[in-house]
Amino acid sequence: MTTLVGATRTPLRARLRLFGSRLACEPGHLIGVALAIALAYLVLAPMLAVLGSSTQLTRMDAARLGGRHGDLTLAYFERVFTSPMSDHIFWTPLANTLSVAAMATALAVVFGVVLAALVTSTNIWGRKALGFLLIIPYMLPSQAIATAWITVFKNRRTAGPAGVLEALGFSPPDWLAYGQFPIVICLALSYFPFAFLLFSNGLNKIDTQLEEAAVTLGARTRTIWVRILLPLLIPTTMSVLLLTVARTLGTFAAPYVLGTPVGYTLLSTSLYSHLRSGAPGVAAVLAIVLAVFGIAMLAFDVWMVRNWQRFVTVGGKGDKRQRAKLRPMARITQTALAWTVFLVAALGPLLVMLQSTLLREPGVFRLDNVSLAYWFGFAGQPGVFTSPEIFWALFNSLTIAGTAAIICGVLGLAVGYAVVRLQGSWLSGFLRQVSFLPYLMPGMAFAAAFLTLFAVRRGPIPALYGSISLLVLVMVVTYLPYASRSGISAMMQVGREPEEAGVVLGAGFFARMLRIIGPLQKTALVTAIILPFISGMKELSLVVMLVTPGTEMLTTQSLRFLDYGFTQLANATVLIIGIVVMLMVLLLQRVTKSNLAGGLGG
Amino acid sequence: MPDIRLTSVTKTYGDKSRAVDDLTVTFASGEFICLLGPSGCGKTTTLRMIAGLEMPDSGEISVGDKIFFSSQSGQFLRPEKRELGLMFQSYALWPHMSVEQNIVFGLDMKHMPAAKKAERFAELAKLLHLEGLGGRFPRELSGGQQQRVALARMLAVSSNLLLLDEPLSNLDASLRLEMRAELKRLHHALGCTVIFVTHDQLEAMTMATSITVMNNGRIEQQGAPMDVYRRPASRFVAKFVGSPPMNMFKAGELPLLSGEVARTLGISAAGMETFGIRPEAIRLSADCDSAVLRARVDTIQPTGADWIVGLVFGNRQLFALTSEMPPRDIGAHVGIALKADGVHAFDKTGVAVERVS
Ligand SMILES: Nc1ncnc2c1ncn2[C@@H]1O[C@H](COP(=O)(O)OP(=O)(O)OP(=O)(O)O)[C@@H](O)[C@H]1O
Ligand SMILES: [Mg+2]
Repeated sequence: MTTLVGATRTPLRARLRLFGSRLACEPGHLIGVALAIALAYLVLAPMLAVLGSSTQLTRMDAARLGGRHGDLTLAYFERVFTSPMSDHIFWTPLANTLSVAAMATALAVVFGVVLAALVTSTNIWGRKALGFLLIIPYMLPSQAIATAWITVFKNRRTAGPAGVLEALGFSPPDWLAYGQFPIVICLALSYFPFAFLLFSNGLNKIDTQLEEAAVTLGARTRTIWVRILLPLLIPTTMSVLLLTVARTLGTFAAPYVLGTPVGYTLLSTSLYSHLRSGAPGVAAVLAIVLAVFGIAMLAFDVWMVRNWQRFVTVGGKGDKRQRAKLRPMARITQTALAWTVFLVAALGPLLVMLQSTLLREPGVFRLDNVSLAYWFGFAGQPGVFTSPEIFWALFNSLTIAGTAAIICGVLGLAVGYAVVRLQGSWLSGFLRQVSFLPYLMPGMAFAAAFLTLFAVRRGPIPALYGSISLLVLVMVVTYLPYASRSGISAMMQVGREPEEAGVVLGAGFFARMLRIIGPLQKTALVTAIILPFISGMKELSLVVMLVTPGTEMLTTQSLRFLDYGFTQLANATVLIIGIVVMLMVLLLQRVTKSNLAGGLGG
Repeated sequence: MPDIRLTSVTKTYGDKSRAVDDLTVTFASGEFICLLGPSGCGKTTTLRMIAGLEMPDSGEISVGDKIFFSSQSGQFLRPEKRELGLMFQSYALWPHMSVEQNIVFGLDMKHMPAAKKAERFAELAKLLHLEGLGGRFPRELSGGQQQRVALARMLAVSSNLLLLDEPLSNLDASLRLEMRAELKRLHHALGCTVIFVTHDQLEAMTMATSITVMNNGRIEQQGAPMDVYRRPASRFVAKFVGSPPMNMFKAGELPLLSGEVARTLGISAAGMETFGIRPEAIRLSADCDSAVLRARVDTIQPTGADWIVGLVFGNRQLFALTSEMPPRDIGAHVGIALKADGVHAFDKTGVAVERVS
């Protein structure tokens, strides 16, 4: 009976043999398992480590409190949430963080929406140029605007050369120089390009027929925006909100530069100072709080993607929107508005930083005061080009970001490969989820977790604190969501068939990788490398706790300069980062033959 | 090449229902076999299991005494060792390689010297009318040319078994007709076994020397095209093969008609659960007084060669296909007579009821 063949249980030996063949024929299995183990360790273990360190006594506290090192304790949670110190450690920073995040996000979203509407849907002058120029702040490191701000508004409260205003004879009050107001402004200015990009893309994706349908029914422009376009932009708005809030929660540069001098702390700066002052238990609890925010936002994001499908417009021919013809007066004022934002957010900071490095005496705008002293050094003081700190920081930044970017790009594609090849299996789902977990996780929380995990030797892995590999690892994990996302979509697009066509014709795994998958994914790979590289060059909050004197990067070195009052060198360092990043952006556009601002239309 | 034999092959994806369910079938050597069935019935899965790109959960696949797969002994022959050609529905041409590089890829893998590769390419280019296109890239080709390149790539490495997964579904109607002829010509010239997947019953009817109808991961019927058409083994096959499709009725629905059908087939009406009448088996006559069955003409659709006549019988609609001008106009009544060879009855399980002629 033939039916019995299927009904009887296959012998164990046969099953083992088939299992072997399956592994040999489907490299996705091995790659997938290896990736799953590596990712689980790199993503999940730090989180567990931070949980552990928040609930176990350190050696010092053990001696003080009369317990043993490693005893379980709730002391750190009590200290953070309920002790008399809790106001200072947690509650005030929490209130500050939430208010700053709310205000900065609101401002960024308003800027983003208005500018996106102006650039995509009206006839203001210089739309095309603005499409690119407005995302420049996004290419600058997060401390650029804060550094520029302090260069202008610095008063006598802190050491070092005077601010521009001070030098000109004004004395800026504290509220203008430091604290909540400048932090909110700086964050809004650094994060609005994001909102601008997403809203522009969102607007361009909306089918123009939806509006035309309304026009034929007699709706006016205002009605169309209020009743049709803005509601359709709700999902975009929500993702912009999430991303901006996530970034402000984890932001470090602005609160450190502008908040610390007046004792205005956010969760991130509180976490930083506790870690630096040798209170890892408290820092771990704060990192957990940040991570909880991150997970909550991730959950909300997933929920949104799942439930807001109905907003995805079906079909559509994707025509360009008819640009509203503004009346002359409106056209002039709105053009001025858009360009002002560019001046304040992008050109202004750059010019401020540049001028400070060219004037020997700050704020004295006379020709005989102009010199290249800060670049080439003077009176025994090293300049930018002769400073060993800057040289090593540049070297470290390039090596660390470069290595992390290459690993990240390759891993991203490997995740994509395994996910696509094993589609439908639990391994594929697991890889997808785990590689996505660090998304929206505040960098500070992750850095604290990594520090906890790798500060000491763990099994075969030596203590990594103070080494470049720790920085590389933490960057790889943090940027992995983006890399694996693009890897998955690139592999999905290609599908399994081109590779299977090779299999049938007798191409082995390496021949397939070299001759089929490799060439097909060239562009995807380059993109998956350059994007993390750019982020890595700009990264501050993630690395600021992990760098040591030997591993300073450009971003952290610039902070050190500020700490010691070398405003000019700090500015020059930020400018160097800006130049490297812009070169990378140009390279990226060359390679992908696309325009970062390409979604902006026109 | 010997016959291809599948024995109790089963394949499940995840814990969902079975994509291929206990399939036992033999594909005879040298035939042009069409695997026909509706979307999602497991045709591609079957083809991929024969090619070795998918591993069955259980069962055995063998060609002569060569075992491709056996869950009993644990044998699995790697795809490249099966010596077969496979053509994908999307063609899966490599966009970064030129036409020539695409075609000679399989020879590359066999480390064939350059001169021989060029010779083989020239041969194939001639056979498939691709002369002068060797340096182009796939995106610079029309759909028909791309398809011929995919064919050439498959044929470059000589194999006795060709597997084609809906190769014509991306082509427009006239090109499709041309390619059908081309494929038949190739089959004739090469003498190899071809398994051709399609969900287009017309394509299957016109091209195959043997049709295998699949449904829900199982085989419904296997046979020569005209056999499948004339003697459908099940209600599913009867409905799926033929255009316009067979008129289907429940036995109790129209007593007059079912009585007539039972009489025509010479079977008892009791064992009959459903019955079907092919549109071309309905003869219309202007004289409706002497006819046993009468229907009202509802619609008339001329197709050029034929007329598709919509009729209302009782409260049901049925279609007739006639090559003669319909005898009456819309709204009038006509007489109906049934041709015995186009009438089929099925029992409760959907299996055809044997006629006692
Ligand atoms: N990789 C896969 N993972 C999960 N389910 C699958 C996979 N491939 C096929 N299936 C399922 O198996 C069943 C049979 O699929 P198959 O592709 O063989 O159908 P088909 O007959 O080729 O259909 P079509 O005519 O649409 O190509 C379908 O229900 C399909 O959803
Ligand atoms: Mg298919």
